[in-house]
Amino acid sequence: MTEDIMWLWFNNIDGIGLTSRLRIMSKLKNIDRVHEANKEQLQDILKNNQINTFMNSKKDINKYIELKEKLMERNVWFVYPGHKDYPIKLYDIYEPPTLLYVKGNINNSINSQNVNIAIVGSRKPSVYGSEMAMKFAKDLAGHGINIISGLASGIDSKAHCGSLLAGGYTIGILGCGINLTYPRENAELYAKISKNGAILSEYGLDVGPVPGYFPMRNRLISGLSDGVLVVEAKKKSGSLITADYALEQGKQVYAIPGKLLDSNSEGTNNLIKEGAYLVTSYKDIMFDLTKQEEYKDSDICSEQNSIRASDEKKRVNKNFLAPIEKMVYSCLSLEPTYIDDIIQTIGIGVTKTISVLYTMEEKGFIKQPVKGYYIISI
Amino acid sequence: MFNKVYSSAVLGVDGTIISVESDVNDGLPMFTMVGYLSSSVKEAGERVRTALKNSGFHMPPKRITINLSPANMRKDGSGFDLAIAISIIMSMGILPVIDMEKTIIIGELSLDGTVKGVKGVLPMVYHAFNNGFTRCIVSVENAEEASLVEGLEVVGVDSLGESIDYIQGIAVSNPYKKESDINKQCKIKKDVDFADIKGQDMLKRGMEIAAAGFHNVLMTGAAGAGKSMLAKRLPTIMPELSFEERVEVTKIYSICGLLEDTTALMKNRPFRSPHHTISNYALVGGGINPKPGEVSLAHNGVLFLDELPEFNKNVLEVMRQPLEDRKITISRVSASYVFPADFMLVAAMNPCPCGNFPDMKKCICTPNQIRRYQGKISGPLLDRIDINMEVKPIKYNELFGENKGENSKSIRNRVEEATLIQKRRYKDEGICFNSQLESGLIKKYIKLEPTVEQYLEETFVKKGLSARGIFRILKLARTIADLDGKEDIQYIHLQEAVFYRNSGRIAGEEGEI
Repeated sequence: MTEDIMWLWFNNIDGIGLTSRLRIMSKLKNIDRVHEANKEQLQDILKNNQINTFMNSKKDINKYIELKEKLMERNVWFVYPGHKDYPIKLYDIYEPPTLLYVKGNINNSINSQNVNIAIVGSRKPSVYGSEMAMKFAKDLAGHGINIISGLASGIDSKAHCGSLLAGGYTIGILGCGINLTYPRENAELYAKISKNGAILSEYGLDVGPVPGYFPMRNRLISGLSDGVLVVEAKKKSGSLITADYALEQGKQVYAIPGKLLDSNSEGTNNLIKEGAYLVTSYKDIMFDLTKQEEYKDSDICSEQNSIRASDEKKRVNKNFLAPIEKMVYSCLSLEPTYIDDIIQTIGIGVTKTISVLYTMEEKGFIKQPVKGYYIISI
Repeated sequence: MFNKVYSSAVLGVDGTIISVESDVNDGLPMFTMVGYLSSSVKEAGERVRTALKNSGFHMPPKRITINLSPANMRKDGSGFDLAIAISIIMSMGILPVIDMEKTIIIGELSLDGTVKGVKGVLPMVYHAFNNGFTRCIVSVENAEEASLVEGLEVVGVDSLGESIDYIQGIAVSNPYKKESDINKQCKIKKDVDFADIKGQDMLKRGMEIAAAGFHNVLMTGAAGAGKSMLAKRLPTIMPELSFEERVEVTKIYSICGLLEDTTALMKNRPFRSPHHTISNYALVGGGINPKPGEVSLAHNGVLFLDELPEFNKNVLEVMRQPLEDRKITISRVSASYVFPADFMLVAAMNPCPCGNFPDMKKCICTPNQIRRYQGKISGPLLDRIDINMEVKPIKYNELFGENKGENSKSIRNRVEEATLIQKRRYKDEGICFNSQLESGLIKKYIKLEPTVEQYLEETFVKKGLSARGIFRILKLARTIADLDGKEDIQYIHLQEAVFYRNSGRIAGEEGEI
């Protein structure tokens, strides 16, 4: 029996979980020895009925060969400790997965010298959070940093989107089987990531999303990365679990600050209070990672300005904004503003305001995250 | 002896003349009615016989045959009773045979000989009058309604005896004297006005455009944002009905027995807001003898569908054809009925099941739920909606602030002006509003400034619009330019049109990657 089939078998025995597997591995060291293990060797790790299933499962080895074929059919492959593409970073974490299913491409990237940054946050972010996640992911990916996230809705998908937009490499780690697209609305994103990055899962092909799996998945998100950026998190957010794992694993935690009374940012603000690295620009992360002077820019205000007009072309154009356009622009922020409020603030009538907004949107200064509501474009 | 009088029935929304023939002859005593009759008409036999007896006429033991013609048309309703009774009396030779060629008789008989009113008198007498009839005998209840037809002599009778008296000329039974002139104003509800609505400038502007060009509207917004309030005020800014339109509308309401004020033609534009549990047939019309549905009752007015996604999907889809053709054709074995259905669709919906999107702090729905909820409105239906607006609940200081909104009257003045321009422009086409322009006529009537033409092309490519989409935008822009009093469509008009037209789905536009 080949090594990979043995790993498939070892990871697919009913009733034997990750902890037991890790204990067996630490005792027997080697998958061949695990396969040949007798009852006595397992006595102190497994219960009697578990030993029986363990022994019985060995008889039906064809099942695992079929499973491998099935995986190949679906373009899913897998890595295990000792495999050349097994992420080296995962050897260092507590409870490393004994098998990772992979869809997409990891062989050149996962163990390369590139820095991985995880971007995590609320599944129901504010517009500010979404825009920030998108912006940071875009900027970081543009500087050759791999973005890692959990393919959930909200901040996660924005982070993946941003990375893909900048042409970067991105890894999505699932809390369910790799055959499942969860949440459903991310189907398109899922397809794109498996083409331009990779999707990983430690759960069997068709394992459904179970609430308990997601915190476990978070240890892989932080484990794979060199630092975790929390964009927006409520007081009891799953992203804080990721941040905790990151600290346990000795990784840096970055956080984007929010307004004090904004429940969406309560978690991130608390992180900052507890000592997380406050970031206002991707440069802060770059500086922390590289200690290069060019990224040293601690002036939050100028950062803020550079966020406002990050695009050089836009900054030039902004000076040529008509006075009325400047007025409209100054009404807007990252907080979505309803069109009627703009109309009333500017006071030039509905038709003209619509015309101004329309022109500015065409030029790319502002956008509508939701129809009828405007924010500035960053 | 043979005799013939005339009555009328409703076919679709128009009346049709039915001749009632009777023959009283020797033979076995018998009472037969023929002529493709529904059971309610067959029962007329019993009613007529008893009513005749109770009115003091003795039915001779003879063979009596009644025929309602044309015999190929299915007849329904109770409006033939009076005509049958009079015809029998004349055949019996009790009455001197007088000329009834120009008289139409409509009324239901009760067993004691009282004449009762029926639904749909207006379309019946209107049709009769247009076909050369000069006099009608109807129940007193219906007399006012019948007298809306100018130039027709209306005789309102209380009982069978009274109508016989009238025909005999013994006691001219106080023929209904027409005091109401045709322009008499119907009572207008004055309790709603646009001034009640605070803030919401964009919405009001959208409504103004909709009213001026008869464009369909969809409002999306949280519960309590004022969507229904706004919709209810829409008729107050719509242009007044023309005479022909008033007749059309009144006829439909007469058929359904919904006329509130029978002394005048309807003046207000109809406003119908059916509940979302409505069935297909109730919406578009139907039944063995088809009756107009809500889309026809909203003819020349507003059909307001609140909570649009809660409507049965089928119900919404059957509306597609009337929205396009402005009429609805219902086919039955016996005949095809065409009901007018030129209505303005005004729909309102919540953005998501909990109603709070896009306020992410309050909204408890998942993106998928939101998408599914908004997906309940099919693309083709959305495509027929020109004005899409998002409504945000108003703020406290707006609600209780001092500044009143513009009142309906001044908005209506602008709308009337724009309507006048359109009427003048389309006088040869038989339409009144920009939204009614067929695609063939768009080139003829819609002119763009050259630079705007180029811009339109860019938008077409960039937004991936359909042909229908671009035509709809042009029609909308035409209305906006008309409101502005401009001959050609300018850039700013087109921008506003594109803004309002933009697809109605407000969530789930990730589409960037």
